Amino acid sequence: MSQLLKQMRESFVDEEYRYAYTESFMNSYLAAQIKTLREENHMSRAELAKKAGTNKSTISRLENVGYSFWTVGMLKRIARALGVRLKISFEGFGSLPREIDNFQREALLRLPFDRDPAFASEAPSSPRMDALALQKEIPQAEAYDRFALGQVYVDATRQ
Amino acid sequence: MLVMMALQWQVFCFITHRGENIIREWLRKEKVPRTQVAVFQSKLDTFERGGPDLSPGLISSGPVAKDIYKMKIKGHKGHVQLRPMLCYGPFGDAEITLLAGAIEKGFKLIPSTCFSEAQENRTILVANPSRRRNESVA
Repeated sequence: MSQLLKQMRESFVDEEYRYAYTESFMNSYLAAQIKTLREENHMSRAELAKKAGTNKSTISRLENVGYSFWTVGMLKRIARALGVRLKISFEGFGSLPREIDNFQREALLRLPFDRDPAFASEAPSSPRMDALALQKEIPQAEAYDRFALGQVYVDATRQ
Repeated sequence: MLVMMALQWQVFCFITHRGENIIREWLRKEKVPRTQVAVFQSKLDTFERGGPDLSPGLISSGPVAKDIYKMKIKGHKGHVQLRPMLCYGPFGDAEITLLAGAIEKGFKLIPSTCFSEAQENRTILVANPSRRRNESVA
């Protein structure tokens, strides 16, 4: 059992504690993912703000891990401005330790629609993804799937 | 192939001469609500996985005193604003050490001695590296 799960099994007995903890994690996750996706799209805060129909200071607030006043409307606008989709779902607590352990930059990345291999008219020519398939000894199709799901980050913009 | 590898960060807490975690002791003394402790622990757990890059706004961008930075934990549902003092390192590149507790009320830090306390504890730690532990604050 991981140290994190051990700590959670003790402290999450308290309902108020576990909801405060998970809400805080959600705030951190959203702030970090917006920042990460904006940077990967080579956008400034001002550019993202313009595309999302808001202002730069709002983007700065959204990219702060302490921010907690999310609205679905704003998140939908941010998603669209970043070329990705918004997914909202209810989850159990058991998946949380793994989500926290995976809280790393590459796990937050998602491809915008216009670079998503699943929607390319032809399979994109990518020596790096082919190399991934070879190195990991996995079928090329799976390498593309992993790429599309953000499980493995390969920078397709710098071919 | 370009695969970005994340650096594993560690968060340590200074240990008092009585062997107690200074942050746990401070949270207990200040009677900080459990929900606020939960928010604090959550921020530390995510910081250890993603480092400063994935915790934007958590730590002051510049030092608040020589070698000392301020962590900003927003009050959960109107609770007290926690402002623990910390330093980067001081022994490794991917680590921070929490050195003293403080809260913020009306743009003032309480206690007002938190900077000097943090600096003194850092000095003690540099001379005695065993005076810190990597453990939960909850």
